[in-house]
Amino acid sequence: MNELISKRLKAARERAGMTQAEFAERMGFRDRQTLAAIEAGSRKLSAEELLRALKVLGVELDYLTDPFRLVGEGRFSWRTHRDAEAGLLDAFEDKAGRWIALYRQLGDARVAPPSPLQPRLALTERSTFEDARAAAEALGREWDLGEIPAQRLEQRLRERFGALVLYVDAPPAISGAACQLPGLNAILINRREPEGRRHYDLAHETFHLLTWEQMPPEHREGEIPRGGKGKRVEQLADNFASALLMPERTLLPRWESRGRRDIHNWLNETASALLVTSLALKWRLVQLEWLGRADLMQIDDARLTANGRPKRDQPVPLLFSGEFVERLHAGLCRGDISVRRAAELLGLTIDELAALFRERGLSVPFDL
Amino acid sequence: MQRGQVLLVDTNIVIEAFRTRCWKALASHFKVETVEECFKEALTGDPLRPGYLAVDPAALSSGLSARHQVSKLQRIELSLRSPLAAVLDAGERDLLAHALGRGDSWIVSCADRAGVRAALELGWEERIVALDALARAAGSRAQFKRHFTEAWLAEVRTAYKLEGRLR
Repeated sequence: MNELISKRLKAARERAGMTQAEFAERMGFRDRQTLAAIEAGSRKLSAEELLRALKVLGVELDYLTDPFRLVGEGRFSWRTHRDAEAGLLDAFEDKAGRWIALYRQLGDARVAPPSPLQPRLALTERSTFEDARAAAEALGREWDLGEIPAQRLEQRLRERFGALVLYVDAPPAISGAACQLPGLNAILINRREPEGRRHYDLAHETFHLLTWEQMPPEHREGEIPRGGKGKRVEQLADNFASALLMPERTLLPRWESRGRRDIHNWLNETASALLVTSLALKWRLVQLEWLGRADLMQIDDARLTANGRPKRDQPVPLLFSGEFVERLHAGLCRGDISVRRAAELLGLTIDELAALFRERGLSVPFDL
Repeated sequence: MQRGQVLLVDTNIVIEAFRTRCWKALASHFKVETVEECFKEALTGDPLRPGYLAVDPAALSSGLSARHQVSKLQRIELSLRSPLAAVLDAGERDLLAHALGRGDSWIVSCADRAGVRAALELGWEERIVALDALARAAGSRAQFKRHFTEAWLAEVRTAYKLEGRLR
């Protein structure tokens, strides 16, 4: 029998909270060993038995057979606005899980097996904010993020961490997410967010992926109550993100040479050069104690909106990512997924799917 | 491929047959049949989106000799026989699930590489026919996109054979 069905059958039984003995009895098997053999893939299920299994477990056939779906695996942590509805997030998580499953399924493990080693930041919930910022500064040097870390972070995440970074069209209430599953780490970024916010989200989610085991993030950050353990983890992530994108070594010469320039202009120009938001830069200067309470009183946040530029001038990244689109291209060329299925999973028409390849400079692998 | 033979078609075939205006010729030469899901897919879409091609529901219905419902058990049987079926869309899968249960001498047309591979995996090499060959047999001189030609189908068959998967 198909290995996927055996594996998913076991996952569905466990999700339903049934022991092998209970499930075997409800299936009408003579003994538990029959079910054990089915779950191990050494005994085939008949179509009638599988139909009965679906009824007993209360799942659809796709749950057991669809390779472009995450079942019993994949942990998400979403960065959402407070007013994001739970139903909206669940629906989007289902969709995002399918994109990640699609990417994983179409990969060729013979060509690029995932590394068995995963980098980890030596931080815990008891670490101080200073520890988180020091770790970010050190990581920036180790990953050679350079003067403007936001420019290289995504590339380094791919190269050094094997992470998949996807720019997606998400509902406005969803900024992004980190997703961890065996052999693959992924970060989703709402590509319609302003450029500085996107980079900040990427750095923030990087923290979660690098600390997931010791500080598993909440499923949804927007709902974390103040003062709780989850809040502490998010504050550590923010401190880390801030120092990763705005390292002291980059800021110091710029700060020292600012002269008598208006602080708003300096913040807007420096933040734009570093590809972050002016507000994030302002708070980074407070962290560094270069701005004090009295200085903050002089700053009008309204003048920092969109880094003082017209909002329409902000570039929007191409949908998904180069590696994602290339992998899908290869999968369609091999016939590992049908064109209609690919379009449906990505929420595109067939013509939009063709455009996705063209905008990445790839041939269109179908003529339908 | 004989006059009056049952011809199973999926959504891509229906849309291309309407685009090239050979639907009527096909429907009069063969007994064209499909499944409910492909019928729905062929009529779905946003007319305002670029690339949308309108399929006339009345012409589609009147050209079909049959439109089959597919049961859950049929879908399960297909899943157990063909792991490749899982990479297809709902209509493509249902068409294969329906075909799996038939005993007559049907033929099928499919223009998707994954769909053809799944059909080959099921041992249906002799039953898959390209739309251009079907249209010629029906007396149409329509010109088709590449995935609907015998040349493209031959390429996919050969690639599958080279993988050593053909029975």
